[in-house]
Amino acid sequence: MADLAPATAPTASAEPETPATFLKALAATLKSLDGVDSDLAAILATHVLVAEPAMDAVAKAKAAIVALAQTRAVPAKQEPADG
Amino acid sequence: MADAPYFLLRLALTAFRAYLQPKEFIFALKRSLAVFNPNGYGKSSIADGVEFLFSPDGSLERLGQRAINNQAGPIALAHNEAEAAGLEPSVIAAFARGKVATPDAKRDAAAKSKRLMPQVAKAVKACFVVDPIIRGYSLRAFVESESAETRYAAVATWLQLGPLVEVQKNLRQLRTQVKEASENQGELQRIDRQVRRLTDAKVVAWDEATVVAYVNETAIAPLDATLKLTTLVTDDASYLDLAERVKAEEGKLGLDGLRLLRRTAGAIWNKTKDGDDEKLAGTLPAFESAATALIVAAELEAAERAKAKDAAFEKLWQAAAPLFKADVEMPDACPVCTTPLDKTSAGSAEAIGNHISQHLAELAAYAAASKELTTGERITADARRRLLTSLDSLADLLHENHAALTAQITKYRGAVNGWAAGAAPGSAELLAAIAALVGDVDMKIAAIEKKQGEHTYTKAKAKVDTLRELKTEHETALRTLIELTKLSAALNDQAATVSAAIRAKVQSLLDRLRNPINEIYALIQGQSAAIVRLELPPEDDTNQQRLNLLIDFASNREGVPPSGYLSDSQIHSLALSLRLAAILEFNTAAPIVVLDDIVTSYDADHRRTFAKMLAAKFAACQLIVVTHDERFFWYLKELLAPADWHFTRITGVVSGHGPRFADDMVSDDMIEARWTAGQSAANEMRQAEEEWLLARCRDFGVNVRIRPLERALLLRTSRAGLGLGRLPAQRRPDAAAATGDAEPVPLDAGKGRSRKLRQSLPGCAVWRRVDRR
Repeated sequence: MADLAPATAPTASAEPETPATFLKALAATLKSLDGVDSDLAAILATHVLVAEPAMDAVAKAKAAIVALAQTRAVPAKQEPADG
Repeated sequence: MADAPYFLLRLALTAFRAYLQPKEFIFALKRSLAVFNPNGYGKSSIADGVEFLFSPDGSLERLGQRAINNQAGPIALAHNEAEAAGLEPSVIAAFARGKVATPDAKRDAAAKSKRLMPQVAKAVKACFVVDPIIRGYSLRAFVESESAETRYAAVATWLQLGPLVEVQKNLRQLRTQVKEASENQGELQRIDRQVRRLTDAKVVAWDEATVVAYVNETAIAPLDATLKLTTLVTDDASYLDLAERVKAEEGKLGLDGLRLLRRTAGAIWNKTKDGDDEKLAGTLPAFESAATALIVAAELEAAERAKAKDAAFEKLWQAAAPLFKADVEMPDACPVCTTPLDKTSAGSAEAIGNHISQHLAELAAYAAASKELTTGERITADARRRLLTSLDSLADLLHENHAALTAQITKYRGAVNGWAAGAAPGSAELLAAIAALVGDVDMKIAAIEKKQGEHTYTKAKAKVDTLRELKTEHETALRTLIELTKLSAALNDQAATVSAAIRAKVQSLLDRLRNPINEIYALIQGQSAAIVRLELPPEDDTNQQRLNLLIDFASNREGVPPSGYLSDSQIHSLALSLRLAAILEFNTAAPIVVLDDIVTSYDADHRRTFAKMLAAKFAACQLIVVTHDERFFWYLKELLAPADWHFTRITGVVSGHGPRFADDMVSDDMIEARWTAGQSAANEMRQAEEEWLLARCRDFGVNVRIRPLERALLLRTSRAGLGLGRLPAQRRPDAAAATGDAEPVPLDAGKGRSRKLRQSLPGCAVWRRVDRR
């Protein structure tokens, strides 16, 4: 079969970066930043930084953030001293 | 050849849109295709076929997913005669990558089918960074009427960055909602309502000092005015003291315990006064009374039983009684043994009657006494059971300091339990002890009620504990709001990071587009065309989801919106340049472009420059151009490389078939074949004549259409005749060069210029059907 591509045709570039791969890389970058709230970054990565978010992605992310705030609001129990 | 770009190798439409019978477009020899036809002949169905092949939801954008709001839904994908023709609506495509052809990708188009996208189509679609199909009707709005926000979304969609726009939109909503949550006082208000309820509205909003003062005053002070809490924490010294007092209170009988003990003892024996009369109540007097009554009943029953010892004659007496009633005639002799009555021991009928009445009365008295005894036994058994239960209840409540009473209860209980008949067991000692207990308890109750009322340390601590839990909830709610405020700030920071990354990605794409856009725009509009810029808002702008489309119209009008400065065709060119530049720049892995009627706003010059631009910039691409503009079609034929392009036109739409292409001309062999088969070839002959005429007219650049026979027109009034007659002399047909039979034209061919035409086109038998349109 003849090659349909003309001699001047540009060679196809590597697989184009899809929004999904871009967002996945962005989520990983966000988590690795110094001083970033990693729990919050994980919530964003799970619910928001995805190519096909759920219909209620915002509600789920908000619920997760509120739950995180509630967890942090509970004072940590003091560990019994050894011995 | 894995890195070679994809090209369309073949496209076949069956019962799809305007195409009923299968129509196949082959691109193996010539990569690009240009199709001309008037509106309504099915050219857009070719673009529809490509759109449907790559549609994620198996429909067309203008059809939608269901028939609603002027959208026809997927049912309009199929030709309306598909079912009657027994054809399965489908689009089939094959692609080439280098010298390698993909398998056929078939996508069912029936509304009831799943219309799944074939794997091959998915692979090719993955190479489209930008939608490869441009339709003329969708272009202008982008430049003219869309806001910066919708334009941003549109460009992002072109570049298939829709998910990134969604991310930014979701982040914006999330930031708003988390900020609202960090300012929401609902939980604190709920706690305030609780504290109002628990303090009988003495404290209307949570304040620990006020709450502590309240609980000290209302719950602890009645017990001990010197005991005062300072805070609502478990290690507060006063709280620890309170807890100790609760423990101590649990070790002895409190007010409630004393009242229970008093009620239980009173259930056994209780003396009440009604005026001067004293009344005894309780299970013990009830049992003794029942036992006494039972003795009387037993004695009576014994006596009556003795009297009725001859009860064996009861039936005889009852049978004889009617014979010896006073008001009936007495018999003279015994009805059984015939002994004369005067010879019996009674001596007379009257004496016998009295004898019978007496014995029957004795039997009745015995029966009553027996019943009374049975009732007495049941009452006594019930009374004994209740007495035993109440004794057990009292014994359970007694503490160690009531050991004597407990011993007496045990002893008396044993006696009652073993009692069977006769006088009830002696209860004098027990009654005295219970009376003493009741008196003691009554005094203690009176003393406590006088001292602390209903207040107890247990109740006070419970109140303190409830308020302490409320304090914990209040503190947790406050800390949650603080944490939410921190998270809201962190979310803003992270959203800014995400937005900046997306901005950088979009900006890099826009930067890549800048030169191609201006090159394409300049090729269409000329080198004096204004410079075009797509600009994001400044980085410090909180709303990054906007895109400004600006032009440098003049030295004193730089960076201005285009709609106020550009003409219709310039705006159209600008929109087209944006889309084409994006395709050219980003779709290198599948450089396929479909253009559907995209020169409607252009004058002849711009149609030509647009065709030149395609030749200059898209020579390496595969284009499918469909147009109803014949001049543009001619420009394409003139300017594009014939080795790469296949040019065709749709000559009409045939019922039961679909669009008929100029390539599908009827041949002499086809007519001959029908004759050989004994079939009529009238339609084929008419078609052949029409095609011949149209071909001749088009050779001269004349636009003609064929009308149905029932709307026949004369040549001299037809556009074909007039159009040919207007041709310059040097371009008129050369009669000597014309071919065909030398038969005369069957109709009056007119005079003057039309006669010259008739002479130059001999052999045409269809002049009457030339349409003035």
